[in-house]
Amino acid sequence: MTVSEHRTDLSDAQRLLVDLVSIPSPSGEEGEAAERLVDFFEDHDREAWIDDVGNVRAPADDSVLLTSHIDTVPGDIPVEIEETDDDRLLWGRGSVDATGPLAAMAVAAVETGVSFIGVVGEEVDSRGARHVVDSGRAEPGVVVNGEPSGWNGITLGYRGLLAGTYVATSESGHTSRPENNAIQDGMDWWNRVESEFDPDEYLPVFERVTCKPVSFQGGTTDDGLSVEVTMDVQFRIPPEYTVGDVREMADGQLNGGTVHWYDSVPPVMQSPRTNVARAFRAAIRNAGGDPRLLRKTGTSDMNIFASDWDCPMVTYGPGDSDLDHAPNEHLSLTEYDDAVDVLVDVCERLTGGDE
Amino acid sequence: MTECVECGAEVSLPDSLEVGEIVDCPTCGAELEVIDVEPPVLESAPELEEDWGE
Repeated sequence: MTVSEHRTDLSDAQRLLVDLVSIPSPSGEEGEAAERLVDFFEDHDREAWIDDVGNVRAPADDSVLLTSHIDTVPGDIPVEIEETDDDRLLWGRGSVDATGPLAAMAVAAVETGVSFIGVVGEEVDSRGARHVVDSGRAEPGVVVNGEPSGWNGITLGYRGLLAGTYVATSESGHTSRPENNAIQDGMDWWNRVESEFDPDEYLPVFERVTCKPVSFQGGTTDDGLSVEVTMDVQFRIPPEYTVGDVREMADGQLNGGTVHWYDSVPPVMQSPRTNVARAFRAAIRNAGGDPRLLRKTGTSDMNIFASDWDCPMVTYGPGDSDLDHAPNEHLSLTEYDDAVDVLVDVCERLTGGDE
Repeated sequence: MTECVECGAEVSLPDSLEVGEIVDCPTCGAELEVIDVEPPVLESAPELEEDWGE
């Protein structure tokens, strides 16, 4: 069934979600969705504006900052609401990652009077979150970052990221000669790096350094005088290591060739005993759920916030993260409503609003 | 004072107990979550699970 056929049946909170999912907002094209968010806050008598990089800022009670990303990965999934026996499912790109969490946080922010920021560029380079911490904004009391964890889960940890480009050059020569050329140097380097980080098979993935080549180009140069190789590589970094540790270990395996390291994000692991984690467990139980504590093998904007701020933080949002970036991305409206209730309860517990 | 749900040992609780708080059993070391405060009710705290993606 089309969204317009359902529109009158939707709550104010659900209409915001449906509108935001209906507005395409791949990274770099978040403007129209940002305007819809600003309108939502102004309609609820909250000051809101779009900052220099495109983030939506709605400051208020800063004992809690709710923040989620506005951008999605590309992908045209027709927006529709599917009726099931006991639920309604909203299909569309971003419904899970992370427009569901974004809309739920905007609704909870206007209901409880806490601060909100919708950030841009999370799926590319986290430029929105980086701008927030670099702009001199005061550190909030706690941060709740938006990503799908399921309505009854909270994410406490993410691995970090190191990305670089390996480049090597050798003189060209007949392929019958035994000496390594640049392509072999590059392959040998990568094999040594993988051996260096070869994990025990029983070690959880979250605690491993995962090495991943993401592109490889090589061959004889146009002038015929050299062989060149270029390889883009990424490492996912557990909290047991720093970005510097991994970079040093990878550089230590070089034998010819160089690496230009162009991106790094530190890992983050929060305690389950913070006030915000405690508030979420209590709120989820209050709503009839069994709380889940998660650590994720990827990287999120929480890594960026935790690298600059010492305040407690968790990541939360409705949706099944197996549907992140997937062609069948969809979100249960019941789960979305439950997540709004949990967020409101959490904000009230942390601001004293329920007393 | 209440009992550990894992080993049955007595667990002393602070006066300022809050729902959602995690306390440790001094006997078996289990992490216990406070489900209610009047009277105190403890359950095993959720364990950390691993998940993919963001």
